[in-house]
Amino acid sequence: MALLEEEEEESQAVLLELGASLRLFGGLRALHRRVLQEGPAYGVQGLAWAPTSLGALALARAGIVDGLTQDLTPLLDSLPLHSLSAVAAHEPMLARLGCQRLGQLRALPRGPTARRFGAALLQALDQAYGQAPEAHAWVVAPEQFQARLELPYRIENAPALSHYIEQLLRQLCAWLAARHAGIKRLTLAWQHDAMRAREAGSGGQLSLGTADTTRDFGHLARLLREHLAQLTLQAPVGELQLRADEVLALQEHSASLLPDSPEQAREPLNQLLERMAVRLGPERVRRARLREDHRPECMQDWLAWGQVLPAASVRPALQPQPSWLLEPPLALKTRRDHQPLHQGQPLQLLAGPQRIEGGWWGGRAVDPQVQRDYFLARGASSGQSGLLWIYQERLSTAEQRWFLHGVFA
Amino acid sequence: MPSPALATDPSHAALLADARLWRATSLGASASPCIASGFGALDAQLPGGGWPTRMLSEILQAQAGLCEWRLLGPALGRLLLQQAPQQPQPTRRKPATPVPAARPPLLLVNPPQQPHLPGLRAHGITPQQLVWVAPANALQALWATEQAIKANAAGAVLAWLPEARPAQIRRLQAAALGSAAPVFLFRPLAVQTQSSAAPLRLILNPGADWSLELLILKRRGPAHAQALRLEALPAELAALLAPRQLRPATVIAPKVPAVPKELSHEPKPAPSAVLARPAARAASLQ
Repeated sequence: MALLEEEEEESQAVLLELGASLRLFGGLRALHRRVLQEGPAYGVQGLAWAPTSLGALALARAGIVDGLTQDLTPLLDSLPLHSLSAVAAHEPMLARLGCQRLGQLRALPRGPTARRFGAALLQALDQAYGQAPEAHAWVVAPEQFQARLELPYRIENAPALSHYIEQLLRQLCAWLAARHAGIKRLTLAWQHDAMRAREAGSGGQLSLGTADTTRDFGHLARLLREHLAQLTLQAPVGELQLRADEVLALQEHSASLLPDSPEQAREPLNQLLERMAVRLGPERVRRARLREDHRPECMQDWLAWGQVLPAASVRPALQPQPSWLLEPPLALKTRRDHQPLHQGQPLQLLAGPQRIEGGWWGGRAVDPQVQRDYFLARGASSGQSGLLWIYQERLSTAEQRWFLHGVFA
Repeated sequence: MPSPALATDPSHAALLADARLWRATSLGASASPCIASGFGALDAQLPGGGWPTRMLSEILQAQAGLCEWRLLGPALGRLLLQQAPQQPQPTRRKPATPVPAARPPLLLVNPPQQPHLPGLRAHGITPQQLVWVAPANALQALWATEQAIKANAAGAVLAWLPEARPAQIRRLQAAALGSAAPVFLFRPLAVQTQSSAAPLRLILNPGADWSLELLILKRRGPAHAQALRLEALPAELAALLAPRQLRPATVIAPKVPAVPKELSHEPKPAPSAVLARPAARAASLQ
């Protein structure tokens, strides 16, 4: 594990103690290459290696990368005073004494220097040169995640935001990884540019939920892209904010040593359906719940994606049920002798009637009251017709009393 | 025809046993696992002995929503009964929540009617397995189908694509090469003259009596000219019918109520005319 430490002063820097983890990252050179490659995505601007943390910090400020293969002392001696924060505070006074470099400061007698500038100055100097031990506090990830990013230029087109959102998402995923957690709900907010139209408002936000707790960067990025594709910005955007709303512990699975078998799902079903629900609309990705009812149209409820599917054990229907249901039922024309016609073909009744009545107990809108005789039917002329499930309205005076309600497909 | 000299030569016999060598007279073997269709007559004619995986199966129908489940029900019922490939679970610890026996899901994209789950139960499809994707237009239907195939998360994908063009089918076929699940595309009969990238194409019609009439338009192997007749009466309906009705149509045909003359001469598609064309074409090719 890399020990993470942070310098919280005027210039932001992250210190990593890597002595014990070099093998994990495949050696110093491989790690160096990796930081150079991946660092810019996280906003890394400079990089320096040194045996001491303050020394590395001073080198990074001076733009020197390598402090490991060379002797550190002459390197540091040549650096200007502001390279070390503790020294930079006394820079004007030291400059009047004729000190320009750290080496010159070190040459001053220690006793008078400590009396004049305080012990902290010499302490920092000794730590940087490796003559005094350093102690650092562990970085603890904050309880709440909230990151903001000011865009380098104003963006008017929502999909163009995705590049910058991915930077924030990477931070979020790193934060989740540090906390061994996953996310279920996050909010992306954006601030409009100051030069906006009055009716555009100050900004907007987008709330995003996932079915499973996840910290999969790829999935979150895909979901956000789908959302952005449907978004129209009211005004150019100048700033983005990402907030984690619902963070839950994530049960992690160890990766397999062997490559994934092709049988394994490349994308879990929930992630696939989530993406479909975002693009098509949640009401277009449906799952059903069975209800115990004897009226065919009340036997199942279709729920839009995202609604909780309660587990219900429902006894199977007593009578054979069709596999397709026409909703609403299709009114059938009838011949003069009241025989129903479907697609111009008279229907032959094969079995029935099965009488289905009821529904007086509910309101009319929710629970239709039905009085029907169901028949199994098919076209009277030889074959070429499916098995249909038709019904006749009982006690109805309407012209059309025959309806097609289902197909035994 | 293989010449007798070729068959007796031991070196040639070894050559013929090689799976990579395929002779035009023999039915193509399938490198990917196949799923038994539940109809012996159909399995005998399908390369690999069942519905193929890793490729598209195209089913053309004059009218969508008439007999899909009767044809696919037996195969889907068995396929969806299997345990879904689970995420690797840590073996030492017990999972926090008891994982219910996960069965592979069934994805319906753009079905012609509302699926009726109490009816599908008879085929062994549970409500938890079925997902109904109802896209607003043809483009969304294609997108949803492609994503479903690519994700490889479902036990089977059934898509009704009445407006798909050959180039789009080719794209779906390319995606399906990596899909372990069978993919069935339902398309209208009108596209039978178009070329299609799907390696298996069938024409499905409800036949006389309780049978389904199936014509193999394209398969890996020699052309198959005759239509197949599959007896596919849902079991629960058989209990409902009188024994007289289960007998062939010719017996009960006279008992159909007399149809007035002006109605009986209404133009309707003659089944033989529809089916004769590809058969004749296949015959002319031989």
